[in-house]
Amino acid sequence: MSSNQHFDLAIIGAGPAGMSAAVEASKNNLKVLVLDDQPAVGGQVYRQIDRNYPKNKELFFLGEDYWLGKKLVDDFKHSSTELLSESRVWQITQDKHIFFSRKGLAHQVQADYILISTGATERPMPIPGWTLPGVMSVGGAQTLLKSNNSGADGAVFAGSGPLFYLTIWQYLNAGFKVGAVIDTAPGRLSWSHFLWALPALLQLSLLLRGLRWKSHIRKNTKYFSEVRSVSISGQSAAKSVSFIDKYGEKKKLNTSHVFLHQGVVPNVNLTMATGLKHYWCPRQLCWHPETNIYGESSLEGIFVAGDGSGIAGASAAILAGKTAAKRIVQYSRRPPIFITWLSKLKRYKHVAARPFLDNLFRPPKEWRVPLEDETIVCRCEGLKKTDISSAISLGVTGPNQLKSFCRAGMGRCQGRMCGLTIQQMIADNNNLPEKDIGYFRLRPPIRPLTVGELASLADDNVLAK
Amino acid sequence: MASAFKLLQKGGLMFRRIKGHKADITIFIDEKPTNAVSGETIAAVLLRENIYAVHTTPNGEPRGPYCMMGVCFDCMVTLENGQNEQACQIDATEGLKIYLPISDRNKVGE
Repeated sequence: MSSNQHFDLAIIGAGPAGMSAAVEASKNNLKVLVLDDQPAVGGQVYRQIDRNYPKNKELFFLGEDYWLGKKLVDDFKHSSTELLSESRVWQITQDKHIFFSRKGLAHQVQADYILISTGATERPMPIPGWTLPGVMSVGGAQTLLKSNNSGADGAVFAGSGPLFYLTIWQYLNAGFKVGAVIDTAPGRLSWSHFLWALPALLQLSLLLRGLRWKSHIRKNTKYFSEVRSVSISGQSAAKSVSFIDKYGEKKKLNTSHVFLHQGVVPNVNLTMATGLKHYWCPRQLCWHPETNIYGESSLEGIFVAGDGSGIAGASAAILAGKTAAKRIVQYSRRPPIFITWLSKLKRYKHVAARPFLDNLFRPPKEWRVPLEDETIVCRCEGLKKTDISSAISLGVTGPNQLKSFCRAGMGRCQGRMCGLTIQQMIADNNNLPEKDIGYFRLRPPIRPLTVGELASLADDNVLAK
Repeated sequence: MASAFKLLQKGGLMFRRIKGHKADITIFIDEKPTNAVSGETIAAVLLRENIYAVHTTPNGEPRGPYCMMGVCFDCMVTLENGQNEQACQIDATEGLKIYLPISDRNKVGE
């Protein structure tokens, strides 16, 4: 391997955590490489911020939180970091070789330290009709706003969570007509909600912003709260959405676009396939890689920062990326002295409201496991709940065994859209906690890879200048 | 899935750009020339063209763009070189040719 394929630090993902880590590390003269799978940096939060910026007057609807990312992107661009966009990492070995594909060719690089900052993905919301063409995730709708400045008039939004309200607010600001908003958040608050609201007051401006979005939505859309039993119907595309409102009345709305959302979870495909230890987070109902306050994972020299290590939002991700980079600089250079409790304190003001939000928008089981037998669970293989539950009832003990019974999770998304649902279904059937069921055993390559791509590794000189 | 397209066309409410859209390039979807704005993703062009079903599952159900961030793999299209790519992960560039797996499948059925 030539020396230009060796780096002090390689970062996977150019979102808030990855970019801030790159800025900090390159400031300290580390040789840094960033691999990102999008054509432009910013991650999902600051997607296409650079291209959108010059026309910021007409795109102002995206809101102040989005434009805050501009400074970070500028700092990143002015740093000495080497960036390879459109690079899809499919394997990280324990001796820190990174394999990725770019424009149809495979490449490898090596680094002394690796930071995985691959962010979050949306939790699947398997309800009847969620696979019909015309149904998309709310995150998908928001991406269309940010990177394509397009939207669909008359769309119905169903679900709950911070991103849910933010996206509808942005839709309204952009001048699109919102068909209706179907809020699935349970209406009744328990004592624990109020308990967690106290520390959340430290992030008062965040809470006020959320309340502002919500009141704007209630005023300007057909808004239904505490909704149950949402289903989408149509022959070969979405045509209408039905649900039961809080008064127990059945409703049906005609629409060709439905956007669904039940919060976000860490994107664990790369961290799991790399062999990092993970634990089940009952509060966020998802797996987190095990890290300390500096982002160090269970494997020496491999760090995880940002929402990929637990959902905490963009500002916490920026801090986490910076903290991880400082730690890496310390390892390779010595200087800064770390005081663990001080780092924790610094982080706290960015995450104080998180337990409150997690509790407030914790998706009830009916949105995580379909109630109806005929609802699709595994989108790729077209498997219904009944296909999966009848396989489970044969005595399946975990998601990996289930694969050989019915191919659930073996399609091209590799379990990304069904893993959490299947884990919950097995837990329910076997009367065990989710953490004991485990997740799909993820293995490299974590994206589809052609033999031709793989063969191109032989004469690899992606970074040769 | 021609019926799906017709249905959506009848519905009339499709994706549109905020300030009209000034197309500056041409891409080819199943050889059909289509206007696009440089730098937008192929998946966005498909949605604006009312193409919501892109491929089918092994049991024949239509699927199309869902997550727009490379997770669901439901927007897979075929490039000229035969390689499959997620339409939400590639930008439209002048003269780019893409093919919809669903069209192939329908041809086989004919």
